[in-house]
Amino acid sequence: MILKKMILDNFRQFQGQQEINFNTSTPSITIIYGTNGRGKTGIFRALIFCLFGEKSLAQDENINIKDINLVNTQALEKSDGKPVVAMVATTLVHENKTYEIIRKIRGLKEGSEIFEEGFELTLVKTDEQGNTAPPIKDKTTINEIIGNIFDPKIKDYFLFDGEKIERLTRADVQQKKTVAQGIKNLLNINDLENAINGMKSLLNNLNAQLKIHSQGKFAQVLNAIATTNKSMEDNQIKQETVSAQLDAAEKELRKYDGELDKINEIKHVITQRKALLAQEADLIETQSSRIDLLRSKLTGTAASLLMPIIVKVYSQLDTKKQTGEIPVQSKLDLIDKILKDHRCICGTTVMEGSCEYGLILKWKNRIVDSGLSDNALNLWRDLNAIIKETPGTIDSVHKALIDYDKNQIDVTQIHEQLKKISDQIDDSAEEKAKGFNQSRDKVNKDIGSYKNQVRVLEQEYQTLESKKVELTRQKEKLQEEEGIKDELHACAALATDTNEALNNIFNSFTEDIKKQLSDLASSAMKRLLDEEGKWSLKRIVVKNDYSLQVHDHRDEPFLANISAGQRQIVSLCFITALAQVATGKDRFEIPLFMDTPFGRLSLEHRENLIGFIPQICQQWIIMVTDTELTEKEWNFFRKVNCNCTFYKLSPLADGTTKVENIPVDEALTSIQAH
Amino acid sequence: MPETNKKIADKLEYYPKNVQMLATYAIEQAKRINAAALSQLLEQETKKLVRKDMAK
Repeated sequence: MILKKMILDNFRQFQGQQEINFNTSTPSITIIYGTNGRGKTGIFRALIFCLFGEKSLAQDENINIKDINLVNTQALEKSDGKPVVAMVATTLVHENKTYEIIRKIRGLKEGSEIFEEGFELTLVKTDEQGNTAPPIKDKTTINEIIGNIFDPKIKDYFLFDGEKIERLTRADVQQKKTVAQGIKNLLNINDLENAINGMKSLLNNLNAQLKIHSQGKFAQVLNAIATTNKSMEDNQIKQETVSAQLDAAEKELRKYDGELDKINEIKHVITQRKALLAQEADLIETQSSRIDLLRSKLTGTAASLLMPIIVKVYSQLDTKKQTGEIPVQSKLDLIDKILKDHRCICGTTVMEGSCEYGLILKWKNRIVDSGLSDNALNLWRDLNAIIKETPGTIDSVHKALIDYDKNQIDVTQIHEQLKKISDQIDDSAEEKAKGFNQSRDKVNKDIGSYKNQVRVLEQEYQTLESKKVELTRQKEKLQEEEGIKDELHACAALATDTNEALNNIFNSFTEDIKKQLSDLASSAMKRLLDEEGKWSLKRIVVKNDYSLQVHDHRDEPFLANISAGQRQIVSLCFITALAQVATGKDRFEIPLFMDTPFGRLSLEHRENLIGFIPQICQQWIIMVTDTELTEKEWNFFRKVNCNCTFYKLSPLADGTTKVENIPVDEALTSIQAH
Repeated sequence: MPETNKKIADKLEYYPKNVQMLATYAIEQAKRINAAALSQLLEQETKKLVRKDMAK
């Protein structure tokens, strides 16, 4: 089957009618390129909706289906409360016949609520001679025709999104379910499973009847078998219950991880805010110490204002000091002695009434006010100190003021930055993260407990199985010994053997398919991994419990140690292996539709994947974001030996998306424009 | 799609005739009815096969 064309009309982001013509050469690549939110997944959704009538995708597991709207919201806004019809028409070619499938859905907006209902499905078939049959409108007939072209059970292996790829790498219940369901769908063994269940039910009936008709030891053994069967059934029910709880807990864990991822996206801003707040606190502390310094220098600062007067007074005092006027160079008692003895220390007689006596007396009178002299001396000392200290004080105050001013500018800038950050993020982000982490821890503990319960129940089941084998052996021995060969026993024996045969066939099928998948996935892994990965990882194994495992070069389990990119490679290998097994051919004849598959892949892994897929699939339709498709990846695509078509999803002013076919030669310019 | 029925038939060849017949019957009937209803049909078929065997 080859996808030829898809027309979207008022579907999701695509307002009005828009068309995509897929490259139909074999092998071919159709690239649909667009930034996030432009509608890549909308195209994937359109295909799933058109072919199978489904509204939701794997990635919608946490979204209520009522919240998924397919009709373009802008068209609904403009419709003034009237219904709007959205349509997807897909044209495909299968075994030389062309099929056009048109599916319509009607939407109505009432207030803030949108109601949608599917209302028309049409299929138009044109044969290889170009004869077009009358349109088919009957849904059952159309679904049968589509089912024959593209079995809905295996659609998951050809149409998958990043979420589905991601899911396979998780070692959880969901992963096991996905792998187990994939294998069962591939084998088409639902009938075999139903037959086994019917046979089990028959065996229980026959054993119950035998119990009624049996006596003694044989009855005891039958009773024990019935009790063991009942215990095994109870065990299975418990296992299913605990598995469901485990599944729910793992879903919840993913929900919290998703929330934490969102918070992690702004984590760097929160970290920046923390750093700024610390920086702001430091600056404020520094400012505070500068203010203390300025306060301590206040006296000196004030003195500097009076400096000319201080210098003048000091100079006068200093002159007097130099001339010995202050302090007084002689002692009063010495003068008194001279006056009393009438003799100077130089030996000159100083008589009362003489001129010398008069001068000495005058000198004495001047010295009598010695307190004034002390005060003058103290003032001289203080002024001296002020004059010496003041220039240093002025310098330090000046420097402190400049620093204060500079710091204040920094504080203002930090305030502005903090305001910008506060506008960007919710103040409660950290609190929320704490809350999510606590809830996550709790759920994680529950998961551990559930896993433990599952392990215990599995062990119990194995013990019960062994007990049943032993009891059945005893029963057969007693049957022989007691010669019980009536019809009931023969029936029970035949039912037991048939049940065993069916179980063996079922196990043999699943074992075969697990081996095939392991081999194909391992072979793909060797093609896709980088050199280091090729050396360290040996093969992919589908385990008995349907979980995926990767073995290292020593053939030891290694999944827990591989990188996120390598995990994605493992998933892609498994999915391509499923697709190969589903078609039973090396190159499968159904389009491989991938939505954002490169997310976690390194450049080398991307190159390997781009080279590998066209070798195993005839039509590859890939939707990529601007971060997934740069000039480098584009060059890888150009190196692949197959035809390529390039579409770009461009935003329009009203928020809708325009689908543009870009000639391959101009695609690089378009990519570089991003 | 693997030819499941053919493969089942091939694998059943290694089992006794009665087992082959009952298993094939069970798979055929399983396509159209549930396990409980299937159990009743299987009981009738089992008895039919056993009686035929015992009559030999």
